[in-house]
Amino acid sequence: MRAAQSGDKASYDRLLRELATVIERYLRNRFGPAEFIDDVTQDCLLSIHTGRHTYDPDRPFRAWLFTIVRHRTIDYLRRQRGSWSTADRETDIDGIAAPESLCAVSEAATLLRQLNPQQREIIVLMKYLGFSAEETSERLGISVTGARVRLHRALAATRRLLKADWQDDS
Amino acid sequence: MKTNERISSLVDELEPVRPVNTARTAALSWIFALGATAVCMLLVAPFRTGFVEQLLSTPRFALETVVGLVVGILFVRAAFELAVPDRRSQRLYVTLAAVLGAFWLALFAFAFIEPALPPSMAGKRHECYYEAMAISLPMTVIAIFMLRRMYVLNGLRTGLFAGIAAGVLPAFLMQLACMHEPWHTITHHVAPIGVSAVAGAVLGAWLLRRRQ
Repeated sequence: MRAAQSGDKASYDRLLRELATVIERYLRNRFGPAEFIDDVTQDCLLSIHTGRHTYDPDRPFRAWLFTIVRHRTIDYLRRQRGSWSTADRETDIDGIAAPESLCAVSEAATLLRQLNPQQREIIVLMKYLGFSAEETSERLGISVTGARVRLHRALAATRRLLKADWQDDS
Repeated sequence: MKTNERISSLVDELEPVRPVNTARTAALSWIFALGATAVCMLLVAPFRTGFVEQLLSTPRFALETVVGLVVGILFVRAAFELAVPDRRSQRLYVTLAAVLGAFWLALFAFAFIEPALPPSMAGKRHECYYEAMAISLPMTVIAIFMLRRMYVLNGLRTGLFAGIAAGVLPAFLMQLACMHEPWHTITHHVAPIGVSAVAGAVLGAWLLRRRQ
């Protein structure tokens, strides 16, 4: 990184390629083979590039790097949450990822196990299986608003768990 | 765009950069800000006569002054640490600044029970409240623009710390320049810190949002 800060393109190229692998592995360990990993990795590389002057060579590189990775990932997940809400209103059940492939994500499964049964159920129905709020409310015998509120709370709990997990790691 | 293409484009864009040294930047900023604050205050009116003797003869007053000095340094440092992605150093300086800041306020609160100096109107500056704000608000803005060049992860929190740091400087110097009376200290010297803190937080949330 020190060489990159002084403008050495060859070192920078090698560094970014190594970091891309490290970040990808790290995210795959956390989220399994999720589709967004490539996007988040690129976001992280871009942030490393724009913030490279803030790395102090006298400090550990790892802490600097993973703070960026953590924030970029949370930002990405937040943006996705927004698009999920839009998708809830606009999409039908076709084209939603198969639950088997999602259940294979070990990290996600671990996370789900930490939620209470109601929260787990609403996330599986609306996020994994792709049911709309109306369909979910029918299945669970609750109002549409109730389903949305329950989902909102479940996502908030998931975020809290993720955040705690990230903090433990760093 | 694939990751490999992204890497190639970033490498093509690479230009040398000077690494930020937060300790040096914070120290230089603090010295500059303290000097500028002192000069501005001197332009309005001289410091209270006899404050040096008071510092030397009253340990409580000396303690208040030294703690105020350290609080200012810590808040400036914390603001700059918050603009660098390294959570461990952020936690350390944010905690230190908050704890010592609370202790400084506690000293002012304790002065209601037992003042460090006998309450007196000597050295009263008539517009000290506005003077403090006229110094701290522009300094908050300058700090925010300095921090914009760094990598801020939480604009609101960073702006808040920058605002507090900018408010602490005149508050600290007012202890030496203006009249010493517990209620006056709180309402005219310490209260402007709240104004610059709010201004810093608002400006930080607005101007320090990360751009990708």
